[in-house]
Amino acid sequence: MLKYISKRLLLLIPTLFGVVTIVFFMMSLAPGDPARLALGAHATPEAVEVMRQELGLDQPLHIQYIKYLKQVVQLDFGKSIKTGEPVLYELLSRFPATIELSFISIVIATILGILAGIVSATRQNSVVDFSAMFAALVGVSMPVFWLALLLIMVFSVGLNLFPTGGRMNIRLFFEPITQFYLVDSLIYLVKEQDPTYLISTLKHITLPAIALATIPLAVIARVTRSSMLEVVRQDYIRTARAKGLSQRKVIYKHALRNALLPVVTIIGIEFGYNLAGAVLTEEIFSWPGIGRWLYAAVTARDIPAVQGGVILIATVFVLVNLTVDIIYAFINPKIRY
Amino acid sequence: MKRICVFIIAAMAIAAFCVPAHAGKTLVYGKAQAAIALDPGAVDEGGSSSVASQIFDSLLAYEPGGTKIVPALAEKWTVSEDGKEITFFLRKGVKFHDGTKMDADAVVFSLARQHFEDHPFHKFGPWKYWNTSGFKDIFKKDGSLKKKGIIKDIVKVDDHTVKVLLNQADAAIMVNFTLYFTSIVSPAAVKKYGADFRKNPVGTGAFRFVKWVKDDHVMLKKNKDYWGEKAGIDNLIFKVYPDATARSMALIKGEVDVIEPPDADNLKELAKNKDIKILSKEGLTMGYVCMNVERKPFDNKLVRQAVNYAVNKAEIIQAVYGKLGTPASMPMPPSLWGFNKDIPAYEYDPEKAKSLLKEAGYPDGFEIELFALPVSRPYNPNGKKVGEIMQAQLKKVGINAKIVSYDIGTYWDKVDAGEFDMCMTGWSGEPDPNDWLHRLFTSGYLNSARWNNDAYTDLVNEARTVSDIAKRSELYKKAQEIIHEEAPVVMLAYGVLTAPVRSNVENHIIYPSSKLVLRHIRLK
Repeated sequence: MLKYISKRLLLLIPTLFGVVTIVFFMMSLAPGDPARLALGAHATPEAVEVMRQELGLDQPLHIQYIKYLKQVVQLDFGKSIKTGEPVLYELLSRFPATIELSFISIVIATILGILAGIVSATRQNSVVDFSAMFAALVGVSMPVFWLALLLIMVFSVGLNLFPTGGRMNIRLFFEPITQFYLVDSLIYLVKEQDPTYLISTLKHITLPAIALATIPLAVIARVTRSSMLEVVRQDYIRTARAKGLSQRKVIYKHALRNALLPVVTIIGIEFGYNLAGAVLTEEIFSWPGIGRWLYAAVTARDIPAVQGGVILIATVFVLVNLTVDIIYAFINPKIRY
Repeated sequence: MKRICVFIIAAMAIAAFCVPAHAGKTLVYGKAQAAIALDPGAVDEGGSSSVASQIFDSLLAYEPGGTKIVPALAEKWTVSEDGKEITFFLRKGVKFHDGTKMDADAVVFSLARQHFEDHPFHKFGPWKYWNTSGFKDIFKKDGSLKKKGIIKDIVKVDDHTVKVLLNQADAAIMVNFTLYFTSIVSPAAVKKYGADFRKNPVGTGAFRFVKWVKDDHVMLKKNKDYWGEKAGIDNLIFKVYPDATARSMALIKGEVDVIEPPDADNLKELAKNKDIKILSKEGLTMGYVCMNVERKPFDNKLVRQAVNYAVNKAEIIQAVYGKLGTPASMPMPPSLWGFNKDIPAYEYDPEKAKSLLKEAGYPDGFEIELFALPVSRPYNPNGKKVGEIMQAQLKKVGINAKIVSYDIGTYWDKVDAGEFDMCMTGWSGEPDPNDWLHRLFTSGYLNSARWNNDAYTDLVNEARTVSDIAKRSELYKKAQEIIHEEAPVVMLAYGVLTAPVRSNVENHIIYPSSKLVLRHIRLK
């Protein structure tokens, strides 16, 4: 097992090297002069030239590349052109918001998705199955920004159940401790017996988490269903039934455990997607996370920020996948190294 | 008795401890863009300056809701006979939020750090706005700019007097001392925080900085010792809502009290809500279309005039701007002194356009490319839609316009390089005609139409060197006659500034220069 993990960790190096290389050259191919964009529409050509020199954009591409590689190895992703702050700092300060949202949405998606998948599989070709799978299809195809605005209009403005955006009611003057608001508001609850912050945090995270959960929910439901259908046809299920076990025990103890193996992989991948791809959800729900930050960096052609952001997100993505693979190896007795 | 006293003191201490730290009236302002930095000298975009403007004061200011220059941190100012010496007499007894004194040293420090490259704090720039403000200009007869610096020196005369010495008289730079980038900062705080001053701003403004959660909100508190009209609210929070629809809905729900204006569609929805007032004021902003006079057929004045007659502004304004714009005639705002009311705008007259084209040698029209602005701006809410309407209008007189667009960076690169036939642009400027007629139409880099006219350049250059407003006004009026006749641009619209507010928000004053001042607001 240790050998397997260390082998996988070593493989990270060429993967990340590839990511850095691709990101670097793609950014240099993109149109628009970053120096110009950094200085704004009113900048003089002379100022732009000075800025180009400062950013090293006047040097040949391969020299820029080697310089950049040297920096990245030292975990120095440079400074954001727009803010002048180190890219790593900017990214890490926005990570808690994104992780919290992604985590809650993946929890929702996992619970509901697996339930829907089981129900569909055990009642294959019934009305329940068809409607659940139709809903899953809609969930995958629905544009997130549209769903997000719809959720706000119905549940926030119309029914007045939830706020329109943000992480916490701003008028509560909340002082976060860890930047993970759910954790922080729980601390306040325990310390001061005051549930106000927790209620506000939960209210704020509900709609964006639902919006972000739809796609993974649909994917998880479909994978669970097909995996379950495959498993219930196996011999050991027949054996279990023949033993006279109840349907409940057969499904949850024998079938589900085995059927969930591919689902674990999917959950990992979807969690990775959520971390990186919550741009629209974050934009509409005014969620100060990584997706919005990266989007702003792309539109401003803030090259160091985009490069650093993409590389770090790719790293997290790869790490999440690695973790999933390791978990997979643990829970699947067939895989032993 | 002693026991009672102890009890009372203890009770008071507990009560004081229990009082919420943020008691009082709170105003939440919903904005579109997050702040990037809060050092007023280091920023040049509205996302940051709208916040910084509440924390800092400049030497001068605009009268509330107007464009007249009034005293601020300087109680009065004088300009020497030859126009090369500006003396500011500072207000006494003003303190920064950190308790240090606002005096001549602070003023010299705030300005000199941006101007002089050998200043020890110059490295915490770039001082983007300063570098493009005219402070670094020396204008020559041909209108070209030389980056040397109009400011010769900034000197302290005594504790409350500062002199700005110029290399060349320039009446147009006075307006800079009202703008946020010339705000006076606390030298003690800059020395303490260094590069992090942009995250820990300390000024003299009506609000003091409390905290900033990036991309989410900035929190400010009333400055109880403010030297001027004190703020009517105790806490001021700027909250970011990047999506215009979500921002409008937050206002409808009352999560925010004032918002940065959304697009025209959302504005229409908001207008229907009885809990919301939409305040508006004509702003100092204009949208226009440049014709590249270095390219055929726009090298011909008659063609340029023909295009002016062929464009129906009323149709464009009705379809695209709605209440956000009024038809434009001259390339400067009509509310500003020096505007020439006597020149009639080009009327929509396709027949006249056709005959002018015939006279110019293009009886069958021609084909050109029209650059459509890819982003929404106060002066042009929807470039693509403007392009489509213009395309149809030009077609009627035989001009085939192909609409092209790029990402905004490439767009400006191509416009600046003159790689276009017609392009949309616009300007939000300052209340001095120089910022419009000189900046945009002499051979500087913002002269997108690439139009050059000696008589015109002489007039606007001369207007910079005299300080008498009546005299300057005359010169600008003459200059407008020339530019109208030469027609290098098609003027589209003057922008109208709006501010949707909840009905309990009172006395929110919109400044024509787009400067955001929130200390006037009272909450019912």
